[in-house]
Amino acid sequence: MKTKIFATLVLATIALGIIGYSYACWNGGIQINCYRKCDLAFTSVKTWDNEIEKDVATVNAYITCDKDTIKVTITNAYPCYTAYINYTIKNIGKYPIQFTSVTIINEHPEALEITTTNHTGTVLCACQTITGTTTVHTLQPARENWQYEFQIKIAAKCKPKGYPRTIGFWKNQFAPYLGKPGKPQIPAQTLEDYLDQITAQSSVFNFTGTRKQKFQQALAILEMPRRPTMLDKLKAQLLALWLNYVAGWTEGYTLNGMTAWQIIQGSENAINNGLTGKYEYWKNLCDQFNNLGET
Amino acid sequence: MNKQILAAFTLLLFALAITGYAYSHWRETVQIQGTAQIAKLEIIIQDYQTTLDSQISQDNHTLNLKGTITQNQPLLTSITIQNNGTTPATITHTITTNNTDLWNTYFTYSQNLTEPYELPAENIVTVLQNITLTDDQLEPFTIEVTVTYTATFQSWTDTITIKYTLTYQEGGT
Repeated sequence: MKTKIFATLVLATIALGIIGYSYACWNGGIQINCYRKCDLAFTSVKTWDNEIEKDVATVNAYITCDKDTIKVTITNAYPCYTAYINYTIKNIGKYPIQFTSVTIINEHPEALEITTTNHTGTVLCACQTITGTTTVHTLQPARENWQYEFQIKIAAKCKPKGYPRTIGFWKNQFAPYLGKPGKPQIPAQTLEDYLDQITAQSSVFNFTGTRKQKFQQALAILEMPRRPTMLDKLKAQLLALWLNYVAGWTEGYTLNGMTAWQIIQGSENAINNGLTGKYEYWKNLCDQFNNLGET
Repeated sequence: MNKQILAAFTLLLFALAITGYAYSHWRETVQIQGTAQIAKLEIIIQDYQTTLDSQISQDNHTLNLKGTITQNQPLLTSITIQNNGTTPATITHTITTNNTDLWNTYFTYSQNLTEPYELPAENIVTVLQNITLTDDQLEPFTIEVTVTYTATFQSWTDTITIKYTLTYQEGGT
């Protein structure tokens, strides 16, 4: 009897463990076996100050062994002295990471004025880096022969969902609803909503008719003719980018300093004005943006 | 025994159940931890040489000198100023007295410090003050003369003070 109870408990334990693990995997953020973790690390730090003639104060900084912390030491500061700390953060994990907040903890704002780059909302794809600068300005009321401490917390979360998807992903969403093999991840109603939103906002795409007809039109654009022109290629990538955009999967991403919306506008402008010489340029931008989540 | 096993497994179940949830909500905070050490500006009277009666304050910021003065006999006082702070100090001086007419008319004052004087941190400078009474047709008097050295760095200042109380007695020595 005891053995049965024991066995039941062991099985229940394993079952629940698997449930927790599965949920974590499904949710994308597990750190142990579901691919490589989400992780951030400081990779470089540089300091300088506003002293020109006299070298009275100094600022030094280093990254701790765990790469999660920069320790800054400002010595011999005085009113008007300003120290600058320039740092680089790298996404050393597999998934995109989104910065959720930047908090400055400064209990003596009358003595130190601290400003720092606000990364909130920025998404950092795998292996990407981002730089920021923290400025520490010593104010007049700073107390002589005293020591002040400050802290800046840069919080981030793993962003396994919501990254731009490739043209292939979108083809695989429409195709199964048109009788082709495959298992879509997005419900048909959602896909139709996306196409309707694109129709309402785009000056290039216009999806009409029944759901099936809309899907056929979209898939035809994504699949392109057998011998596609540059315009066909641009339209295919542009539609994928539109789909990413209306799905909300381009938020926080930029490419060459441009948002998805700016690239969409540029691409549609090129098409509407027949700027054939620019088709490849915009096609490449759309393509690269759609692949941001794959890096 | 059974209860213990049951309790242990129950705890284990909860632990495992929340592990997956916790992992799926990955969060990380990188941080910049800083310490700002503020400098200090301070000058003190490190040493002095005088023939007058002297008394120095505990903080070495004020030196009181008291005695008699005789005509045409220079009163020499040597003051060693130390920059006891961590910043350079720019030093200047001022003289005040309780009898300006008498001071301006019958006294000469000189010192060997070229102003403004830049005194680096932890360094010293020795100033030789020379006060001379130039007239011998005076009634007895007592005059107070205050020589103040001010150190400046940015908006910070610090001072040291030499307070002379000098008495002239007709025909005195």
